Amino acid sequence: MMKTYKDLDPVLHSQLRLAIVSLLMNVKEARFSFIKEKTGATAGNLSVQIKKLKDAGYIDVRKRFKKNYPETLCRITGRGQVKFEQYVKAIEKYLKPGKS
Amino acid sequence: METEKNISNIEESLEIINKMIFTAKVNIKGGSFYFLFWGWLIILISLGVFSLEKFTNMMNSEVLWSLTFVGVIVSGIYGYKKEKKEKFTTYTGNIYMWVWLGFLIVVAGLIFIIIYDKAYTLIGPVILLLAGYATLLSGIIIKFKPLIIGALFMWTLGITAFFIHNEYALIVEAFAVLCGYLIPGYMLKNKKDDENI
Repeated sequence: MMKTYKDLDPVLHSQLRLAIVSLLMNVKEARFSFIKEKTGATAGNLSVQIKKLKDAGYIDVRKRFKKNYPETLCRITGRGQVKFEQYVKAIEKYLKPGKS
Repeated sequence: METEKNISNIEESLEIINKMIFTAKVNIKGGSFYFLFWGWLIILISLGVFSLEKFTNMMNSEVLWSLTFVGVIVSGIYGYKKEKKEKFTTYTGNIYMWVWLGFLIVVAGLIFIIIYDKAYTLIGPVILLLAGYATLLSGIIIKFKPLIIGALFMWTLGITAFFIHNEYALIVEAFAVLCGYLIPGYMLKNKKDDENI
């Protein structure tokens, strides 16, 4: 039977969104193409998940033009960092249920 | 990764975090360009000025130092192009950049003050002491000991150059740059990729 993790942040408790946020935790800013390469996601799916993270205020997205082509850059927000840390603490609780 | 695929267990969460969080590593070898470029530039200018002073009757041989302005422009263009190519930027890279931009601003201000006060012999030693400080910080930021050791050489030789009141101070300054920029620069360039931070 699949265990449910009700107190885990639903925004982060998804494979691709957690991967995006984890990747952005260690960088100042990353290009869309880099995130796509490292997560192995399709461009369409990645765009949808990035928008969800942006709408939740977890990441900032900016666009710029490079040689007449638009380029998307993402960076984690302060809220995103806090939410990620809370998520890690929450999963630690599941791994060590005795500790508060 | 498929659309909106939820995580089935905690171990999977940990696996994703572990896999992704250290994916983006700073390519520390990239910084070697500046150490090599400035190392060679300063050494060639120092030896050039020394030769002109020692072996010719040329006045104002110090004019060769104006080539450092060309160096600033070349470094700026290189840095701008490199940044545009980067797939990601890091906080480490950002701090590293500001250490050297700060150094540049302080040096520009000091050169102005020193020239205004006509205390020309101070320029070399003062720049060496400051360059040593920026080199030390760079070594700490990228965890690269040769730069830290190079910084100690720059400080020691900077003080030494101050007490040499003739053209041989230029040789000491060139040697300081060899120890502080060129040798660590080549060691950095030859570092293995898997040692990135």
